[in-house]
Amino acid sequence: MRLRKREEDLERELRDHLELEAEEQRADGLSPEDARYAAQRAFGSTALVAEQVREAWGLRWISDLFQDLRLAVRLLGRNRGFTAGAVIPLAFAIGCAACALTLVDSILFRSLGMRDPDRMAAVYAFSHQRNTFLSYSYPDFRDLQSLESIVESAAAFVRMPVNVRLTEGTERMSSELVTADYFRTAGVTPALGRLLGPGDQRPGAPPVAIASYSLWESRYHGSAGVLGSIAWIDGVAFTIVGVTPRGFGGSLLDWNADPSLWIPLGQIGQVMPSFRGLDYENHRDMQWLMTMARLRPGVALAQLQAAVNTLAARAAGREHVAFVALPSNQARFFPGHRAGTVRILWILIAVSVAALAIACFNLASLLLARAAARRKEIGVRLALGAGKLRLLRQFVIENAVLAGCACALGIPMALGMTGSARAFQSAFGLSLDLSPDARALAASVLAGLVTAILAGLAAAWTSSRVDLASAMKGASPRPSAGLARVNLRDVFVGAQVACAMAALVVAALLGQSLRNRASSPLGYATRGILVGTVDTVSARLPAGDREKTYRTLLAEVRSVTRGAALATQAMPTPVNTRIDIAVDGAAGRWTAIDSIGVSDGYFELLHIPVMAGRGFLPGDDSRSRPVAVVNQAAARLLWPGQNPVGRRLQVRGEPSDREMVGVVSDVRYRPLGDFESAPPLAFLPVFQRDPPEVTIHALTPAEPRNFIPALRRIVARSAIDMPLTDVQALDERVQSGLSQVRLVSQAAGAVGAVGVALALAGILAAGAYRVAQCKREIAIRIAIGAEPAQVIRTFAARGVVIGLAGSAAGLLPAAWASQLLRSSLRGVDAPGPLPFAVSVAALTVAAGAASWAVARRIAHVQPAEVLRVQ
Amino acid sequence: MSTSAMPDQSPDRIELLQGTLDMLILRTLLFGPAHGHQIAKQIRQTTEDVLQVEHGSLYPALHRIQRKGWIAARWETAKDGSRQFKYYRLTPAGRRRLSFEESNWKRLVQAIGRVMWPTPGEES
Repeated sequence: MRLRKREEDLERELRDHLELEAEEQRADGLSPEDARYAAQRAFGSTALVAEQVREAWGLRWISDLFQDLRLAVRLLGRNRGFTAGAVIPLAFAIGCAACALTLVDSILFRSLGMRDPDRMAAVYAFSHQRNTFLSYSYPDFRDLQSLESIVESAAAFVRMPVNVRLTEGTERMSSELVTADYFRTAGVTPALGRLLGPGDQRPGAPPVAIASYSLWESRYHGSAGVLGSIAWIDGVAFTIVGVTPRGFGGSLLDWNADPSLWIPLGQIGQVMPSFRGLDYENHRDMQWLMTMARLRPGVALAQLQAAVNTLAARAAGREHVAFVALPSNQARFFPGHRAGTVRILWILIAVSVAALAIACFNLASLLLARAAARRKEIGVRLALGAGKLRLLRQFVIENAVLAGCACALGIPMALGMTGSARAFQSAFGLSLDLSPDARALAASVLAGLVTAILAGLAAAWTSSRVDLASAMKGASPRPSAGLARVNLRDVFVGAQVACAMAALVVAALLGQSLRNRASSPLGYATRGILVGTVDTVSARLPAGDREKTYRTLLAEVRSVTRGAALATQAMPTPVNTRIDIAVDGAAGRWTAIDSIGVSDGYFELLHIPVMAGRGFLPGDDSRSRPVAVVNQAAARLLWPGQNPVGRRLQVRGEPSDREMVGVVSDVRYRPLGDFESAPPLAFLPVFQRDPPEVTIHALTPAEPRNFIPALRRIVARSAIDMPLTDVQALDERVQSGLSQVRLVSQAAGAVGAVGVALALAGILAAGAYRVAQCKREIAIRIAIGAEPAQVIRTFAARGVVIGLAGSAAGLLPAAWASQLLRSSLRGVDAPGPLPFAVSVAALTVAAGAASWAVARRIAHVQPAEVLRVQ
Repeated sequence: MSTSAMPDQSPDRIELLQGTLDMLILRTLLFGPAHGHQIAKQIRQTTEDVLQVEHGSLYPALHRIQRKGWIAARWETAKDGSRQFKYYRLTPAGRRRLSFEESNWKRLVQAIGRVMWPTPGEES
């Protein structure tokens, strides 16, 4: 380093001078000893000269900086408790902020890999009747395409899971079925091969598919051999002809996983047999497509909106529908979903701001306490001639070192938290790119630094007003910190308490909701039951063969377990399974209720009591007469005050009525529903519904998970190729239904716990500080006859006041946060007064206790000693 | 810069005026390159010990002048070949600076002289 070289030069130059001078003095006859002494005397102080030379270099500030840095590191190293107390909360806050910002960035701002995203838009239908956004129908999409003066190109697509067999084993993947202009509209160029074009949509065109970049990397190891290879999608051989560029995963973020495959929409009949006979191209009622449109250069979104308004007016004969054009950055989410997700983001940002605020207040109050403890040191340094500016700089540097440590610790914390945010995305059905985000990290590190420097300046400002003489004596500044005076530190601690309060209330509210959900009875047994879904779509069985396959499967599973049954889905389910029914021949007066198809043995397996009539028997199949069972809620709804058994029930779309054969007890059907408000539910025999997929329920002899390999073997043995998906113990399924609430609850709980711990530490530090400051006052009080116990009470009361005031100040943000949560998360109960009351009480008691613990030191104050010293 | 005559030595010695040390250094270097000790000795000898530069204060001045670009420094072997010293030499800018300071100094001396020893003709 140049600076060191310069220092060496200087040292040598000055030594040369002294040696030469000493030689001359010796030549004049002095002894070597005297000569050296005389030379030094003629020269003056070497250190001072060196210092003046450095000043002449204009580099003094650098050496000062190094000196300050060294000092700062040494001081912080010596006060490990202080350093840890300051650094860890700040690191935590930086981590929180970076994690929240990464989510915000990836949800709202990160590029979706499309060219000119500013020109991209999406159009949705909106039903005034139902007050909800709807997907698009194919004819409406054709109308959108025809707006050629506004739209350069437009595409429609539908994202859905398909069963794919690449080399061996069938697995479920996300796919998109897209119209001809999809890739042209998105403006992406292939990483390999070609993308889909109009030729692939023609009837009779060979089935081709596009692989995603990540599928290409993970399954084909990035080899060009992917082109021309076959992907069996639901039993049809699709030739892979191209690979999408890296970073492109479609235009939707909230539709579970990014697509691995893109298929021409024209092939939908191949993949979904139910579409084969459907004339979807002319059905305006079938609203099932997503759209994307690329506007012509210079065309504003408002023009598109005006154009689709005229389209809507033209189609006014139908159900009253409006079309809404959204810019592509908003269209990443289905319009109804975006608001909820954004609200969750707001909560996360609020949490991280609370964490930052807590860290800032914590740091400020720690620094103030430390500045007070360092009054003597500062006094000495001022007396030795340190400038105030230099002292101020020293403080700022110490804080910068603290902030640097916090950042060094906070960045890995942020990466860890972002990693656990992956749980967040699967709980909410999002597909986000959560790779480390430099922008988010930089912004949070900056926020951390600013926090630290602000706190440091506040502390420095206070302590630079040190009165030299009294500081040197070690005396406390007299009038400024009386027992009764509210000082800045108390305000900081109170603010910490307020932040902690908000986090605590949210955590308590969520915890309560979670407990309510978890303790709410299900109405069915889950213990020991393993569920797994098989899908026969890819096997393209004739309708009748499904029943045979299912029966064989059921018999095989039953032969190795303590019982098994089939159902169209496992409970609790988030999926909508509504059917329209009418009772006793009142056709046309349809009621929509949830339904589930189950096999014989289902009610027995899950211990769902049959309250009247019977459950299903093995004989209830496609050849026997149609029957149905309802739960009590449905019985109350459909036949109030009457016995439903023997009555008739018609399901919309079925050729004949069903006979009611039984009533079963209510069950909790939704993951976040309440048992008390169980929805009406109709049970139909699974073999009378011919479902394309069924969920096997098996009562396993021991731990359900241990049975998974056996179940897979049984499914693999069956004659047809079916994937077994969503395999889980029913207990887990019930638990995972609560994962959204649990996740947010844990996050809030962690912040709340940290906040409370910090607030208490703050109260302890503030109390200790005040005891030290007010020793003199206390001593006088005791000397003139005050009971120590009374002084202690006065002191402790202050802690209680801080706790009360802080938690009261936290009530409003707490109420706001819990309201926000309720509106964005399902399964959160209305915030009753209990969490608020409990939090206020807990914080006040804790604050009082901490304050009292410190105040007990007063009992050790010896008036004589204190007054003598001061 | 603290340049002062040593009070415990000769009472004849006078304090160096602020800023004049730079000029003296530049002037000394006009004779050719020299190292710090030589410069100090030279100043002391040519002023016949009246101006005593505290040796130490010479070095901050040398480094400051060097930074201004009026002198340059290089480690060179002494004429007797015994060892290396840091030699300072005048740069062209330093020469210009010297003549500037010299004329300033002359004007200052003249001005002070007129006050101290007014010629009778000029007295009003």
